[in-house]
Amino acid sequence: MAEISPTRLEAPARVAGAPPAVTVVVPTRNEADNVGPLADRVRAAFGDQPVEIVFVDDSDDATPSAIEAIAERHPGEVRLIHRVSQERAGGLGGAVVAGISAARAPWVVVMDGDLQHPPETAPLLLAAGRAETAQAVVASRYRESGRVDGLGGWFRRTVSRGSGRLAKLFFPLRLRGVTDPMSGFFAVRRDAVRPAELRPDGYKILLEMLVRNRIERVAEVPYTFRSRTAGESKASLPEGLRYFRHLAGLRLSMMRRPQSAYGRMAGFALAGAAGTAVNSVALWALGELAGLPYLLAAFLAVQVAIVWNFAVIDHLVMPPGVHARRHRFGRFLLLNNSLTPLHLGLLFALVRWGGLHYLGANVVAIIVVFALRYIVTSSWVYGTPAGGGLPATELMRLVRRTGQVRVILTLLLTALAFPALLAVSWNGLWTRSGAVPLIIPLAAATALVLGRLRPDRGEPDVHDRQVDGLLSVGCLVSASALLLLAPAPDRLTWLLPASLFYLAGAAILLLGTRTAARLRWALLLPLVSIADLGLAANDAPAVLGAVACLIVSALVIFGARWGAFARAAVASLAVVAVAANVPFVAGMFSSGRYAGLPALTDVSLALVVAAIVVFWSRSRPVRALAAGRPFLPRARFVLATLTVVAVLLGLRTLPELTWQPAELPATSGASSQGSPRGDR
Amino acid sequence: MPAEVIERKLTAYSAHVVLTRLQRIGLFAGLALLAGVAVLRPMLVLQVIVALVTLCYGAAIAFRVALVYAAGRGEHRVLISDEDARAVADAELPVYTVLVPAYREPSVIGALMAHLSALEYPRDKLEVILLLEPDDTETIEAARAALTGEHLRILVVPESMPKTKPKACNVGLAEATGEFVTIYDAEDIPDPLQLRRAVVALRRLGPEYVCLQAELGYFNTDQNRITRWFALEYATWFRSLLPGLVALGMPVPLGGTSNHFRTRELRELGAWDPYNVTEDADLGIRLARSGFRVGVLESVTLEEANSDFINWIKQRSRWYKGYLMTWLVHLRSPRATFKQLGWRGLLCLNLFVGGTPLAALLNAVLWATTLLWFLAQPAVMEQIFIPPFYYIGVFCLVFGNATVIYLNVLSVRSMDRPDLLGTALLSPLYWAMMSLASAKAAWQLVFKPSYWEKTTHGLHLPTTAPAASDDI
Repeated sequence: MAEISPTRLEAPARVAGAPPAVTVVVPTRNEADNVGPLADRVRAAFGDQPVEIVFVDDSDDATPSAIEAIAERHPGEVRLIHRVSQERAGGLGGAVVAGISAARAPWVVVMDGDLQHPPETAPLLLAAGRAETAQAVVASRYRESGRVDGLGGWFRRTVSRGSGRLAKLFFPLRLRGVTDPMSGFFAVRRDAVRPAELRPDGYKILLEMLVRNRIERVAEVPYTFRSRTAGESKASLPEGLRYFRHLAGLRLSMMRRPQSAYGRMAGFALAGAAGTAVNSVALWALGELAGLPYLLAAFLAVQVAIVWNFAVIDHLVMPPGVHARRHRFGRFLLLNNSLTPLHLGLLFALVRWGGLHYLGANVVAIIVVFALRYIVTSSWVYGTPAGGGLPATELMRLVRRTGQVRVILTLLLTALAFPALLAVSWNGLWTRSGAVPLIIPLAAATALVLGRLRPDRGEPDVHDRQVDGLLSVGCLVSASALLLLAPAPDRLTWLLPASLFYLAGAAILLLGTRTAARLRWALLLPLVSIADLGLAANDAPAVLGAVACLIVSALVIFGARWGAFARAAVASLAVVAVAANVPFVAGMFSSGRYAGLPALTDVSLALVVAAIVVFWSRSRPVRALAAGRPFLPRARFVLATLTVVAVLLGLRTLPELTWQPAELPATSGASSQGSPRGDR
Repeated sequence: MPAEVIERKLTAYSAHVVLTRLQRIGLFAGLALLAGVAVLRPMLVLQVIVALVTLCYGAAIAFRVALVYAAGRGEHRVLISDEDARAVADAELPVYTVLVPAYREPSVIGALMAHLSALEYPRDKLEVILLLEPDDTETIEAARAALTGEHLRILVVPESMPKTKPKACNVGLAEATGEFVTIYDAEDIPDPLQLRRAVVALRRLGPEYVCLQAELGYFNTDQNRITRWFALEYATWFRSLLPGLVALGMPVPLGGTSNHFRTRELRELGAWDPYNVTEDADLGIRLARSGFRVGVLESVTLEEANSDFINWIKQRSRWYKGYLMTWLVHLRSPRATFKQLGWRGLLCLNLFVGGTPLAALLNAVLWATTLLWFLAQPAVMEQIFIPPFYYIGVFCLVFGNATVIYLNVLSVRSMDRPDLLGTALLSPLYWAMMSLASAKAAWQLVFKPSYWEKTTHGLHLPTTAPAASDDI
């Protein structure tokens, strides 16, 4: 067995050739008198920390030779990048970028060479950045203790402050925590800057970097802007105009090819909307002006719209993909042409078997096809760019990572598979029949499940996908068999067990057997509803059901001890109070038919119970195993399979549905006519 | 004799290939024939299948009853009293090799050392070889730290495929110097006198007996419901079924540990098949094919019962897959098998080795069919279940299930644990777990035949972290 010899780490001393801890980048232009004092003060300010000073000089006077003289005195600590007049791309900003590109230290401080930025503040920037783990630290003139002494006259002050305000107006989110985006004095982590993405245009490189390099964590340190000691100032009116142009251009270019998925989706939708207009115009032109038969004209108009959409999306919305443009276009064309029949087929299915009105069905079809088009376009046409960011992959990542999302997906899929349950609940909303008594237990069960997804201590981390598959196949087959075997007129009584089987199967597939089994206590809760299924006419059963749910949840969360009952009792008081007040409050705010809606009490109680259960779960978090994240199985094919099964099951019951709520008679309070049982 | 030489002796019966070409052709031809007839006369095919399944199922149950009856006379367990075991002078004892294969089990090494040191056997006659895998540095480190005594040594199995327990055992056997050799798992607690009992018994029984299977039990029976079921099942297995097989002169599928061999004969036989995932059961059949006999030694080795549902399914599916493999391997040349094993052996091979996993698999199908009948009573089923077989099926449903539950209740008696009665009556739930495991086994047999489903050990140990504090 080899012994690891202990290695001793030496404190970084100020040795020539040692890697610097910080690089100070100083862009200079005709500052021959300032560079010497500046270098001395910087070195003094940093004390023992190894520092490197990079002068990026755009001067035509004696400044370069002055810097070279300093560099000779401090070899390895002071460097000069002299840009002759042909190389001065980007002006001041270009100089800063050149300096940062040459920096060797992990932190870079940028300051002007005219000593208006006190070098003594630079170590404070660095300290703040390290303490707050920021990517950039801005020295601000406008923080409380920062002051503006150096800008002469109120006009200059106003211009300076206004330019900062203007920038914040253009980029309200990006510059959220920055009071002085115009500052020329800042520190930035070297790895946060990607020089290739920057388009320095003279003025104010900080803004450019914060926006284009998408620097998220920015800290600020106040400082006092000093009066110039020598040289001449370069702030002027033409410079200001140039700044405005730069700002506008920056904003526009940041809107093009948005980085966030939502931005891209919005761009996609806008392009599609504009495409509809193009489609109409082309149809009119081809049909009316060219006199083509309308079906042919429509087909050609669709092709025109596709070309238009591609041009917009390819240039303005999507990032350049991994495929060549002609391949992208070919795929886009193919995709869009195959989506049209799908759209029509979906429309037909929804109208024919779903019983929807064709206008409503069309909205559903448009949404589905839009989502599909977007997902396939971003993944298949453009490929997944490194680092992700497309919503399809983002959604998958979310699904991969969080059990909560899986639980909600399980519920959604069950709802998709058993629309009849939804219809029954909707129809019973006014009479509190059907599945309405399920609302409270379901809310409590969901809250309980979401709080108990993490594995318990001592639970073995052993999982088996084949067991998951076999069990869930059993569950799904049972669900389908119950639905198929059920006699047609009486099918609704078979729905509940069938849906529970589907729910269990989906949960096992999406969460794994072990996690699903851990959540089995939540299945106790829907049983509570059976107790108050029939007694629908007043609030008492709902309150009792809510209290029962609270007791079960408390026992699950806190274990079988008196504390659990005490908490349940306290929470029950809150439930009773809410139940007593709901009709009163509802009557105050609305006078229509909704005021007397008894389901309102159920929904309010459900929310209260869920909130209490969530609160309890948080107050007693499950102590998870130390190692890593809780197990979540891969779910890509599983999701597709479950969706297909859900759609097939859903189509089975969909045609028989009616969405007509049974209304209470005008004299509410007594049990409704249709209800088989009265109260008492 | 190096491990490769040992292994070469069994190539004809290795599960390296699950189905030989001839078997494959036969299977596909049979399926094609079945499909062809099914197209023409679907009802006939269904009726025949139901009839065959019912008959086989009934036969398997009848076989079990016969085994229990045969074992009931009790004279086929080899009983060596403590006095007899201790009576042999140390000088007369042979060198005994104990092989302990382990993989990724650093937590149980400490306990293993304690249990091995409890063995009553002269240290200069004892050779313990710890078989570890080269990539398992954790266990190797733990073993090196815990190693005490001259007779203990670590053998790191050279890296080669397949990386299985039988492979490691073969490597260990190649290095063994003992006249007798046995295998213990790392978490086993053997009866301290077991080695002495085995020596005395093998000497008494004579050269016809090459192997003794010690009884296996569990030290964590009361951990949860699964371990209680498991303990009952093991009691039935080692006290009724295996002695029954011995009594009827049938081959005995060995259990995974605590089987005591004569080293020379074991080597001649080709030892363990590294490709079979229940190499022990396969070895039991091969012993019988070579004309050797196996006895059941009355001496208990305590193992860790699998206490976790998924872990249990994994372990059980490996066993079932191995049984199915063994069954297929020994049906490669039915005529030779018949000649070597006789009709009794063939009966055991089909109804016990193949029958155990297949019955578990069929159980699920038959229960589903029964449920379907009670729920919907589809008319088709009346046509499929034609009268004589329907009555046999009902008989199996009522009598067969009652019998298996009754066998469990008998084990409650033989274990003298009346508190397990409830567990015995609940055993239909345990059958559901078996069905799940057998479905997994069948799936794996087709798609991943040589995959060794690793069972996690040490789940009975308390978690090292302090228990969750009470509510505030």
